[in-house]
Amino acid sequence: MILWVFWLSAFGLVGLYLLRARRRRLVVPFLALFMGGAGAARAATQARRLRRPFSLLLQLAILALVAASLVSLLRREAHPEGTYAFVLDASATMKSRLETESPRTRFDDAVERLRRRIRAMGESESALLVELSERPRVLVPKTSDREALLQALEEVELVDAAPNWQALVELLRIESHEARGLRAIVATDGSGQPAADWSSSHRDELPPFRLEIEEIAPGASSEANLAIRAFAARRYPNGNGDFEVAYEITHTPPREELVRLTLYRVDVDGKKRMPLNVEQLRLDAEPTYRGVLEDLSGAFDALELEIERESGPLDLYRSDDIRRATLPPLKPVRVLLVGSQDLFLRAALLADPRIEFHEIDGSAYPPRDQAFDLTIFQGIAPERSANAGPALYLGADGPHVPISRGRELKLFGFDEWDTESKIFRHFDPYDAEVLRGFSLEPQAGDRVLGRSGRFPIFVSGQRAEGAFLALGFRPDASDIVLRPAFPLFLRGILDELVGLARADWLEARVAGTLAQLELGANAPELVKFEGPLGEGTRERTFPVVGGVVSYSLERAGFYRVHAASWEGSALIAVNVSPARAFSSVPKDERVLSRAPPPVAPPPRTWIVLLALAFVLSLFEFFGFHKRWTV
Amino acid sequence: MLWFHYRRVCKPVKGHSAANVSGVDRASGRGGRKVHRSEREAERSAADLLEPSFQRKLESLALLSRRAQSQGRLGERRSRKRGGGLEFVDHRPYVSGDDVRALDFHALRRHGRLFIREFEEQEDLSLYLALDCSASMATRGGVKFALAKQIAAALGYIGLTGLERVGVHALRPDEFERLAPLRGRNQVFRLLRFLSALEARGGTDLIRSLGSFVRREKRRGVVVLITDGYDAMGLEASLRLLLASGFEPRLIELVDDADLSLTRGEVLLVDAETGEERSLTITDEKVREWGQLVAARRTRLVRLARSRGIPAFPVDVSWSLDTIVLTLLRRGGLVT
Repeated sequence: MILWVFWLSAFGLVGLYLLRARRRRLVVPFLALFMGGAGAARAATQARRLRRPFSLLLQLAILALVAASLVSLLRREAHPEGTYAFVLDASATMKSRLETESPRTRFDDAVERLRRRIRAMGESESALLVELSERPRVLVPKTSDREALLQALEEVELVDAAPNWQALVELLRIESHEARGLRAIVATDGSGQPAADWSSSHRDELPPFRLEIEEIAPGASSEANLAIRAFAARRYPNGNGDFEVAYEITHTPPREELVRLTLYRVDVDGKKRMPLNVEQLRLDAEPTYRGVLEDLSGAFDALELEIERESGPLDLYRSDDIRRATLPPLKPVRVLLVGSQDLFLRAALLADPRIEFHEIDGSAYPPRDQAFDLTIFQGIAPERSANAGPALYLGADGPHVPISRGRELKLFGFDEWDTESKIFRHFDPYDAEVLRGFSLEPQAGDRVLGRSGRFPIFVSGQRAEGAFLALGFRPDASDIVLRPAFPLFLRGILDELVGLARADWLEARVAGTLAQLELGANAPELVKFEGPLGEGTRERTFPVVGGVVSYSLERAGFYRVHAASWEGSALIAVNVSPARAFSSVPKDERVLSRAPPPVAPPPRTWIVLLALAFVLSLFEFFGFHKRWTV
Repeated sequence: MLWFHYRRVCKPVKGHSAANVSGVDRASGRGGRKVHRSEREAERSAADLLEPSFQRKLESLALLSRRAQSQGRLGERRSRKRGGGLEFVDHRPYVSGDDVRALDFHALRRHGRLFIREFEEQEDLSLYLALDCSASMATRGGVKFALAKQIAAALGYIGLTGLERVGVHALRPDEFERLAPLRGRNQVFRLLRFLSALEARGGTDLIRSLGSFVRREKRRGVVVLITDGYDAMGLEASLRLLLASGFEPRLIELVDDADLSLTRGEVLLVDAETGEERSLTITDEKVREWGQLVAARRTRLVRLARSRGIPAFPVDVSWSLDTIVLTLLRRGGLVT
């Protein structure tokens, strides 16, 4: 618009010059009287010829300068000076109390400081509000509405994640493109990855804006902090719910002190907790203490471990005194028995409470509208459809058996077996006697788990129908069923095919970090994360891609994963960021001293241009016209 | 009132010409035009130049000349020459060849020696009124030109009533318009009619105009140059010419401050004589500067005139004719 006006004015100006200004005619008695002498008038003729074009050039220059000044002014208005980015650190350590006796936290102090800053804003100043956490985000875009900023400030909630300074700087860098001369004021305790460390390691990437850091409780007098850095739990394999937990405790400064460690069982709703184990520990001068609580039972799947000092002051930062973990879920296994009934087999399956089995004849196979985790074929082998699931063939013979039958065997046993297989972890088949059976002829890719002489009698493999295990004899045709370890042999088979128990340590997720959860092939497209269970429970929805959901939760607690169209569910635990990622103790140095140097505010170009135009106008006025018009 | 008076006097009259005035020498050769104005109107216009009451005041005045002129007829003006005048001057011893009619017989009888009575010979004065008739004199309604004609009329009236020879020359570069010298009180009306019929037009070239004047007038006398001084060559050369030619120049320079009172701003100045145009920005500073230049020029002219013994009279056009003639010119020694 301004350019259009400029061009129109320029054309008008040129037109006026071309048309020449209409001058009044004055008849004078003696023209030489006004020319300083006729000779002088003639001498000035050449210079006079150039006066008008030069005057026109000057006028156009003045016009251009005024236009440029207006453009600069409008741009400056569009990006007014004094744009602030108020950054509130909502990370976990901001929960720390300022003093032991006072409930006031660093977060309260930070909010109060920013509140004062916002109220002190000028009418022409604008600001945006940014939350600093693992994933910094703009809560209020750039605005001059102080009430909106204050309201949003009051609604900020603390999270249990660590602050991500690099992401914050990148976010502010993007915002600074829209708001020149941005001043970022960060209210933080600086106890995370501080800006000082960040700026020192990224000197070449200093942000193009002024970064000011207001430290909350810098150099706090109490540096003592007790924390559980790690906590994990695992079930004992085949332990029927027994489990053990491992933990790691840190205490700063390292000194001898007596602490109480309490393990809680949390019910499924996450609302109640019952102590399962209480131990008193005497920590020595070492900064780290590791321990294991064994032979625990009585928990469903959610655990909390809490540490407290038996004496001495309470921690200013309490969030890392509690950590959570979940036990691997006890998943029920549905087994279908097809063929002749076997009391030994039924008895062995009944020994494990997680196993639910159903018996049918071969003619009733396959059953309608029922899904099973495992199918055991005893003596018979009906035709199976593709993706029918894992199967165990016990002395089964026929065209639909996934492995060919070899020669007839009588009075044989296991001469060789795969000791690496978990099937034989608790069962030794050395002296097993088999009355009759047959050898198996494995295909390429099949795995021979046991042999009698040189004949394979126990083979595992994978077919289109699913994974299978084939035994070359019926168990009731041997003395295996009479052995007390037969149920363990059978559980080993089920564990091989279905996976009955997970013996891995299961550690909780970390707040603010991206994690993945495998939900299986039948998982829905969207799942809901409900939590943290207890007070303030919310629901968040995440998409499922390929049976895996990627999620990031910023608040610590237990979360239940479920979906309306999904029968399954899962329970996950989220802890505050581990203590090794950041220190809860504020830095005792002013971060400002290492902050990037402030970027000089952009010069008031429009003033310079206008001043230049004024100077040119004066020159043009005194040099040519001594008046302000053409 | 004076302003309106001047305007009325100098209002151009269609068909006006001085050709009907007897004794007018038309050097331009454009004589013989028909007269459209009645004689009475001409007389009225001539009378406007000098009001009867002012004429009576002028009758008591006489022209002053620094030296008597040697040519011409006897007149009422004292001459250095001793001769046949009426005014006794002195006795001297008789020498052979003296006019015996001048012998003083009373002295012969008393002293026994021959003495000749000497009388001062009286001559008439030739007064030439050289009037600048360029177009610059006609600007601003012809105020300057009207006043110039009035001054010329007054001086001519004084001269004629003092039995001087009075001639008028209209100074124009390309034409020579002249009223041959008149003598006698009864010629006043002719003089006034001639002056009344004069028009201001054309450019200014006083050297050329006065050159023509000098060549034509053999009889030397007092030349009163009445001009606004707007000559590119300046007045100094003109005065030197008159001096060198044996004339006794007097300068009456008409000054109109309004010539410099121009409207401020961008103007197109047009020369009244040449029609030349110049664009100019008029500012207070420039007007002040021009004023200083004109004042310096005038000062320089007066100094030159004084150094040569030439009476110079800067006359402001706003002054009345009474003030100019009865006070200024009288005090300046032009008239007495």
